[in-house]
Amino acid sequence: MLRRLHSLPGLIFGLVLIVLASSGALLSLAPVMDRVQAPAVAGLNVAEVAARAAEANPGLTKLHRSPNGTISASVKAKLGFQTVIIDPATGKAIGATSTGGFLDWVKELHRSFFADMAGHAVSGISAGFMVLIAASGLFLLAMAMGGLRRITRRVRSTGSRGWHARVARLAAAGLFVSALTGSYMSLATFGVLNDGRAIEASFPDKVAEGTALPVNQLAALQAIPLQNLRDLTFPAKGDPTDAFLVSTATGEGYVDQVSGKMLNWMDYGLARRVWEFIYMLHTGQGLWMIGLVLGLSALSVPVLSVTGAAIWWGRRRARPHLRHNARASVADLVILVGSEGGTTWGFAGSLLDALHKHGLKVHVAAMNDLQHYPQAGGMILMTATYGDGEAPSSASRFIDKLAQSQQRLPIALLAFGDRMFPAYCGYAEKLGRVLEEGGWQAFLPFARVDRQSNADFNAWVQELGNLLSLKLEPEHHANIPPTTELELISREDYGAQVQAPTAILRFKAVRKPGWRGYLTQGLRYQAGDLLGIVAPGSDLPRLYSLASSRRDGFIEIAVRKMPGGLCSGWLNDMEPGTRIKAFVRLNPAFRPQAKGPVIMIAAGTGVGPMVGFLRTLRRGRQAVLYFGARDPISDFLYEGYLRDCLLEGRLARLVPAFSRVRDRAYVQGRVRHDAAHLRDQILRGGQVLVCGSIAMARAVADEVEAALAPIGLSVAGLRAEGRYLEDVY
Amino acid sequence: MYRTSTALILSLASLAPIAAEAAPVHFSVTIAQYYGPNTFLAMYLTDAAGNYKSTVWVAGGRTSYWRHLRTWYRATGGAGADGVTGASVGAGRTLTVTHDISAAMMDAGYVLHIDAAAEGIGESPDEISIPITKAGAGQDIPGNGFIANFKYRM
Repeated sequence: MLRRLHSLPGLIFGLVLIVLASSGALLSLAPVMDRVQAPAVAGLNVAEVAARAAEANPGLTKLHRSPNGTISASVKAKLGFQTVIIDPATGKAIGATSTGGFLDWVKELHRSFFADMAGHAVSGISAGFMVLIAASGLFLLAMAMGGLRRITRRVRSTGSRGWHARVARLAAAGLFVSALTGSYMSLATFGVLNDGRAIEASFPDKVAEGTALPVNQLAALQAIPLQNLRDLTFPAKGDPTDAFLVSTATGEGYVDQVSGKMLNWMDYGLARRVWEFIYMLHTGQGLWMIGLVLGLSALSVPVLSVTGAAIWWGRRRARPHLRHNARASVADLVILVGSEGGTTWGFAGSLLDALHKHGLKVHVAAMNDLQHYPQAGGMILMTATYGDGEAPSSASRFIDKLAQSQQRLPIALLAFGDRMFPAYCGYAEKLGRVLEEGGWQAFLPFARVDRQSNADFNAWVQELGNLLSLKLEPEHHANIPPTTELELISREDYGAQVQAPTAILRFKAVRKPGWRGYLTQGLRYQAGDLLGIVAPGSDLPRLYSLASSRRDGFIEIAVRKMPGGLCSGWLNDMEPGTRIKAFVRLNPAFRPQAKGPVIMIAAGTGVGPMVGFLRTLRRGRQAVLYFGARDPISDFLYEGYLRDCLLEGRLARLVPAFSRVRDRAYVQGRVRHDAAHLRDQILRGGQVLVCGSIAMARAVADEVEAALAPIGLSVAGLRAEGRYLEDVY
Repeated sequence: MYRTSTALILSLASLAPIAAEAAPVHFSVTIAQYYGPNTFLAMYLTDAAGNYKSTVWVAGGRTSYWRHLRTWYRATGGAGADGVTGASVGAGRTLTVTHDISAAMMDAGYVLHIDAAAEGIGESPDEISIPITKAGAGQDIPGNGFIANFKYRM
């Protein structure tokens, strides 16, 4: 709901808001330029300045003092008007105003799109929706970050989502002020709010007859110090029945040409003072620094509009078309989905299709749409987690709805998450506790799917199949991003003698002919990111950690041939010159820190990203690599390169462990043995990076935990600080 | 070509019997070229004694700005604009409005006035002030502020 409140007005008003914000950003420069031009004034009154200005500028019709202190004059020339800046000491024009010309055009665009009242209405309504968008966006961001207090923490999302969040939290305050004050001003323009501007002095019924006094002898104007002036309008030339109109911050009145007396003075009152303050906030007139901050914030709107639209489109595209979806009233089985980005829907869809093949009527819906299912025998909940253990958007009201539900179906809970995040499957776990406390019956034990792993998902589906006595074969059609064509340029083989055939494969991007070649060159990746490859005859991309960065000029992965592995087998048998299609999935959560010691712990092909990091790390970074393999003569991947790193000082220490030689050793054993050294590195701000199998990562974490215990630190504590990172498979 | 057609209209007008009823008069204002917000205009009539008679047209819907159309606003306080209000006029554009002028007002000392103003640029009270006469129809009147050219046709 909140999300829709955010995205719908954003999509509808996106273009208008881009125009409003860009023009607003330009206008924020005006007070700064004014300020630069503002001359020093002390002890001058309006009468003397007006007299000097009128003498020096024949045709003077009006004087205006900006809140920044600039005195400008509107001078009627032979044809048309000129607006000039006046030096109050001499009355002479010292330059053209910054508000003339181009900025006036921009201002009119900003206020009314050159369409008079209709345009004012569009501007005002857009500003109102901007308030809504900014407020809902702030809520969404706070939810995603796990609370308002954590809003300044590092944003983990990538791509459009990440940029949207980063830019938005910088600009939110400024945008909120601009939109709120803009809405107020618009409401005031339409008379919905009383701004006190309707208060005006009425023209005197009678003016004195006789000869007009010289301007500098008008007593009423002499009584007004220059710094209090707003506007002084001169009487129409040659019209003895006209009078001066003078306004200050507090009120306005007419000044008799002949007697010099103030006539019909009118005080503006409180509403007008409020309006003046809000006007000052919105325009930065008199508060040029605030104006600049608001202007800078406004520049974010084009970025936010574009990334916002991209996020919306991505989410829309991710939700699959459920062809075999049965109605709730006839369903044998119900699948409810809690999804934020939409990926979980893909899994639900493939399960639906697999069950449909066996003639089951399955109803798939969002968790928020929980209702009564008269025919159903069970309910499967497939849910992701949002931010720090929050419910994803399609499940935001589920727990409340469940509490009110009259029906108690047996439930199976399948959690989707990313074990790199601190709150791994946090919402699903919370939901699991709620179900347990509520006494709900579980027909399958709680299970997790890590980073959309098909292996995890298929294992769970097998269990479901066993329970239902059905042979389920889900075909998960993952969303494959646009791919780039790569060509294998070289391969190095290892491990054949120890039953772990592994190849280090080096690719280069195939440059398309013509202009499209530039697009190919744009493939961005860093060591530790993942290369997605789809083998022929499979729909499922396999992900391999990259052992090189864009600046290395090639794309390198280490692939171990898995028994029966379709993709790994295909890659391992590949001849140089072969072309494949691949995409990059960013993995920004797995990167070495910018400063301090780096402790890398890897086993098997897990050494790949570590080598990639070493390629970019500066020398003298005190990097240590613990590397577990089977036999130094067979599968010591990157042996030559790693020894060079030692010689060059890129690696301070290399600690290999081999499990198929006489003194068999495992990498976790090396870590245990090195505990004192590890503690020392951690105390000096070190960061631990682990890459390998889940079992290996678990064993390593236990050893690191034990090593840290004497100094009162823990793996969980380091994780929270981003100093213990894992990339496991 | 232009002059001949005017002459033709005038000769036809003088031949026609004098109509007692009101006849439509077309007023055209062309705004000068400038950068900035649109021009607000007030067109109104005064009688032979110089007293305000009626409002012909107000260009610019934002009533809070009307006070800057000074002589008109002094005479009316903004009243009299009902039903004769339109959008403000952009630089270089021409506004044409049609107003019924009774035969009694023709050549009888009635004067058409135009106040012009644009926000942040200036105010030009009574920029045009021209008696309504049969002979004056079709003649180009230059302004000296916002108005590049004014004329009326019958």
